Amino acid sequence: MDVIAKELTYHYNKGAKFAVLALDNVSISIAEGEFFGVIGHTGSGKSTFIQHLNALIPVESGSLVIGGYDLSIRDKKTKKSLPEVRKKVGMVFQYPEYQLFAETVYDDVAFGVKNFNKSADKSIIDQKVRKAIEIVGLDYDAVKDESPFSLSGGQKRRVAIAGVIAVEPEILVLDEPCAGLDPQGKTALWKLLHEIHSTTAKTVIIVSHDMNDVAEQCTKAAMFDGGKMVAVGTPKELFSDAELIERAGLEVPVTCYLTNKLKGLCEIDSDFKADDFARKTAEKIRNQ
Amino acid sequence: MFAVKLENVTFKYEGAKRVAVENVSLTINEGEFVAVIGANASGKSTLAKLINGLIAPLSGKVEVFGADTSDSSKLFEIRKSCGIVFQNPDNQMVASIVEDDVAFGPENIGVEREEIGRRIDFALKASGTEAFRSQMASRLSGGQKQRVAIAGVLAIKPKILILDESTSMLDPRGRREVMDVVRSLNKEKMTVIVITHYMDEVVDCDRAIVLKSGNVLFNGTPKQLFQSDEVIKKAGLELPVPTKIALKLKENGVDVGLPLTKEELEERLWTLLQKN
Repeated sequence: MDVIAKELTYHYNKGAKFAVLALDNVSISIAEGEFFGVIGHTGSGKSTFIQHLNALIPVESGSLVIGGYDLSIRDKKTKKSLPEVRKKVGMVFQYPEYQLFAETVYDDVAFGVKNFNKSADKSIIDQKVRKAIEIVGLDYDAVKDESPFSLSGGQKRRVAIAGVIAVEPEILVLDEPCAGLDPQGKTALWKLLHEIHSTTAKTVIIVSHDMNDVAEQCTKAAMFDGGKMVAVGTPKELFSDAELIERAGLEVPVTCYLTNKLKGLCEIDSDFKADDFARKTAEKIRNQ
Repeated sequence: MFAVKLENVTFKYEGAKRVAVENVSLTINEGEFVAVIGANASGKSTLAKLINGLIAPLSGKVEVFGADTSDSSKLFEIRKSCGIVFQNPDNQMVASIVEDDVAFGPENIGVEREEIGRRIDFALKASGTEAFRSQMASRLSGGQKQRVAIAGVLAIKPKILILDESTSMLDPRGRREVMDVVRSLNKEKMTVIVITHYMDEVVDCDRAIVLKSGNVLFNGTPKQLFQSDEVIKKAGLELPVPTKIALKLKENGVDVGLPLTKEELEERLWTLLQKN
């Protein structure tokens, strides 16, 4: 399933005195298989954009096609297909652990699965719930009857993510999945997201504030500023224009900062991942 | 006199299976800039609450400028001298207009009307939020809201400012805004305690205190901390990004030492490249 947005525009409080232009003519294609980053400072429009992806926000003008579903057409057929779209595009919000609600971990993870598979046997639901809990790295038998509120912060977030991946979405969208986690939790979550990317969800789209992470983890990223999409490309392409990044209120990755500062002495042509940067810089130092 | 002194402090939340803080002893000097770090549930926030007397130790003693937090007659003074800014900017606004929000604290402790005006001026100026003094707090960005929250604390004229993961919900710009304000307050002799998961916020502190399962695992300079593989591993911390890059350079045969900031790393690479 590819995501293709063309000239997508959206206002909050449209028609009212306080109308705010949140998305301004955004055209973007996200191909199946990407580990895609969405970046931009607070209020840049990135959350408004990702909320379009599972039809939480209706298309106001422009077009949005996800797989075979054209979300910009407003007829009965599209309306009927919305549950399917929402099943295929899983959304994990910021601090998803605040949305846990059930009495047991099992019930919480099963909630979405049951909603999307109303006629399914209990055994099938059980199987999907078990699989999701195991994918997020928790011991199914140990946690299934626990209250989700008795778990640690990192575990709660895993349960919340399990609830979404249990539905087996093809596209998994996460809004700042690492916010508030301690370093170990963060490293483990990145690893988990790559595992999910290679096993269940074909496409992963993440909102992130940390450009070092985007450089290390993403295959491609799009940058938002003032409701517009101002740049898109591989991290290497995106971060080669440091001025643009800084104008958008973000900080370039450390590798990119160093590359630019050392330009007077040598050109380091890396992909801005720490490994590649270190290898190429060391080479330059040895060869001089 | 120490700004903060903990002597063999132990604390357990009601109904909890294990203690949150165990036999902790440490001191913080007036004017010091201290980072408290450690994994989730290592006792960091409990430490903050112990310091401003929101909770009292089960055993041991907590003193703030010599006043014991277990002495209820001193609590009012202790809380006045020790302000906390919490994680979520949206949970810390009490009034709809910025200056009313900042006035809330001093009004509560019975400061005189004219003095409240002066304190609002001072607090807004020190936190760089004068520009939005008559704006709706709800319309500010996260970083702006956290600076207003800092202003609200400053209006009480505390001697100690505690930030409990106050930048974790902010974007890079918001984080920088808040940390710049905090650093300038520290230069004016404010004692600052920063609880954080961001290693780059630890780097320019005077001292880092690392907690693990309620115990002090490390107490020293950031430089010493990031040199100790053992502590980093045990406490589940990570190295700052520039330090990580330096280690990768070393794997590739280039020794640049252990720089903690990107500027330090830049300087060393510059020297190496020029020498050759």
